[in-house]
Formats: sequence, structure tokens, C-alpha cells
Amino acid sequence: MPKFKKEVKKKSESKRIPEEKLILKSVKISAFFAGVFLVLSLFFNGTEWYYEGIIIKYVKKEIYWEILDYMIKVSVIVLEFSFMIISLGNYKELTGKPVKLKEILFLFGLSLVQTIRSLIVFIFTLIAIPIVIFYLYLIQES
Amino acid sequence: MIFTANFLINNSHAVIENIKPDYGVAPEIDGDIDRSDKEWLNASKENINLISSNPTDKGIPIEIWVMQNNSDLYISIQFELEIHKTQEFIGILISDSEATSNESFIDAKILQFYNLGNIGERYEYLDYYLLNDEFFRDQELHGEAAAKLDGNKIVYEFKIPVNNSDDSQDAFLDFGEKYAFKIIYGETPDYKNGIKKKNIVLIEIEYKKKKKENIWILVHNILCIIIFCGLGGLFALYIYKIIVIKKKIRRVRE
Repeated sequence: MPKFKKEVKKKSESKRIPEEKLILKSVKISAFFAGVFLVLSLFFNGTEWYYEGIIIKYVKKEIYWEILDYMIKVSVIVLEFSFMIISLGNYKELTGKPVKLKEILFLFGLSLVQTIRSLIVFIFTLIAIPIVIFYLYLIQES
Repeated sequence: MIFTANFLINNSHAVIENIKPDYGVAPEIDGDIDRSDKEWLNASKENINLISSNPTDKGIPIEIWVMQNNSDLYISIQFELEIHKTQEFIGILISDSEATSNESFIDAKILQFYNLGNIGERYEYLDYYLLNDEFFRDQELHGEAAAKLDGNKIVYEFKIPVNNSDDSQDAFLDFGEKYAFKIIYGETPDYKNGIKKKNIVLIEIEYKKKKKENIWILVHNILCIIIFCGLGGLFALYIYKIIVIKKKIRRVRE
């Protein structure tokens, strides 16, 4: 009997380890992409490139290109937020705790402060991030 | 249908392109757009059609670039033709206001080519004033123009003084005002009857850009540095936490 019990314990441990490994891998990959988009956000939303708009500066000063420029600025922040929240969610899973609302709001705030240079980028980010949160919530539920 | 509509729009006088030029570094007026030197970088760029009075004529699609600084307005006109005639000119007629009637145009800056594409090719920059649609040579030449033919593509560059002309034979372009500019194309140097194709654009001469208060720029930049440094710091802390949990998992496994 004891022998049998021991085998069962070993099996469950060997099953748990790869799962943790996978979650950790996901944490690292998501964090890496979040870092990449944070750096991109620094260039698009934080530096002097912001003023002229990288697209307008090198392509054409037209309304369509200006819209594309704003879209890029917003997308970079939203993608950074998305990867960060995925990474954080997985990280929390490793620690065995759920992601708290205040942590989500903290990340939301960190994303919004990146829009310091533009009201337009701020407004669209303010709209886009709750949509992402809602989408992630729906996925979680399903 | 869309194509037809587009064709009709391009070929009608009803739609007048309104251009608000940005301030930029003065380009060298030599008929050459030096991209390595970022010439015309801030120019507002529009595509229009120079149209003929002959309805069967498709006209010439041109690209018009407009830029300004505190002293001059810069206009570049670029287009391709299958065959450029040995004589060719591009002129810019300037109205005294937004009005586009023939009588409203009082000034003309013209670049006339001779022997274009042949030996002895040369061009001449001409400054005219207009009275009742008749061209008269200015006593003093103001502005500057140059052009260059490269293959089938030709680039014209014009420099027109802004807010500093005391010459009654020149249009006075004032800041904050909108003026009609008629782009004319022709071949022989006959500046009323030789005009073959034309179109009008409205250009608003922008006020001198007020430089933002230095202190505000400084505060803004410092805030940006603090924010992004803070974000970088938090991200580094998060990476550290990942490393710690990775070690913990390894320890548990062992």
C-alpha cells in the first residue's frame, strides 16, 4: 500500500513540473514582448520623435498618415499593456494568487501616463485598454 | 463610376485644394531635391491636375509641395511627361486674396526653359505683374526659381518672398491670410496665349511659429524622463521577480 501511494505522488509531481515550466515560459515571453513595446512606446510617445510623428516625418504629411501615426502610438501602448497583463496573470498563477483589481488598475495607470504628450493618444488609449481588459475577462470566464 | 467621379473632380475647377504649409528649413533652389539633406522634409504635399480648356485633354497630374519659413514661401512642382518639348514653362500666378477670378491675379513668377533636353539647355526666371490679365515685366526681380529635368521627370522649385515686399509690382503675402495661386503650364514664352494647362490652389500663409515656452518644454521633457525611467525601473523589478520565482521553482524541483 505505501508503495502504491508513493508512486501516485511521484506521478502528480512529474505532471506539475512541465506545467509550471510552460507558465514560466509564457511569463518570460510575454514580459519580453511587453519590454519591446515599452521601448517602442518610449520612442513613439516619449522622445522628440513624438512631435513630428515618425510616419509623417518620413512618409507624407497627410491626414491619413497622421491617423496612422496616432494609431501606432496607441497600439504600442495597448500591446504593451496586453503582454504585460498576460505575463502578470501567468506570474500570479505561479505564485498561486489571482490578479487583483488594483494591480490591473495600476497597470492601466502606467499605460495612461505614457500618453502624457497627447490628448488624442490618451483618449484612444483610455477607450482601448478597457476593451482589452473586458476581452481578457471574457476569455477567462470561458 | 468611382473612377469617373474622381476624374471629374480632378478635372474641375470647383474643387480647389487648400494647402496649409508647415515651417521648414529653407531648401536650396537648384531644381534638385536632396533627400540626403532632408530637403523639403516638412513640405505639405498635394496631387493636383493641370487642366486644359480642351475637355478631351487629360491634363498633367502634378505633385505640388509647399513649405515656408519666416521670410519665404517655397513651392515645388513635379511632374512627368512622356516627351518634354524643347520649350516649357511653369508659372505661379498669385492672387491678391482668395479670389480666383482672372483679374485677381496680380503677380507672376515664371520659369521658362529653352532647348530643354538638348545641347544649350537653359532656363530663365521671370517676374511679371498682371494688369487685367495682361503680363508686364517687373522692373525688379524678386524671388528665385530653378528646375531640373531627370529622365522624364521635371522638378521646379520656386522661392517667393513673404511679408517683405515693398514692390507694388509684387503680391504682398501676409501672415495669416489665404491666397489663390494659379499654376500654369505652357511651352512658348507667350504668357497669356501660351498657357496650355492650369489649376488653382489656395495657400494659407502661416504665422511665424511661436516657440513654446522653454520652461514648459523642459518640464514636459523632465516629466517624460521621470515617467519612462519609472516604467523602466518597475519593469526591471518585475524581471527580477521572474528570476526569483524561476529559482524558487528550480529549488522546489530539486
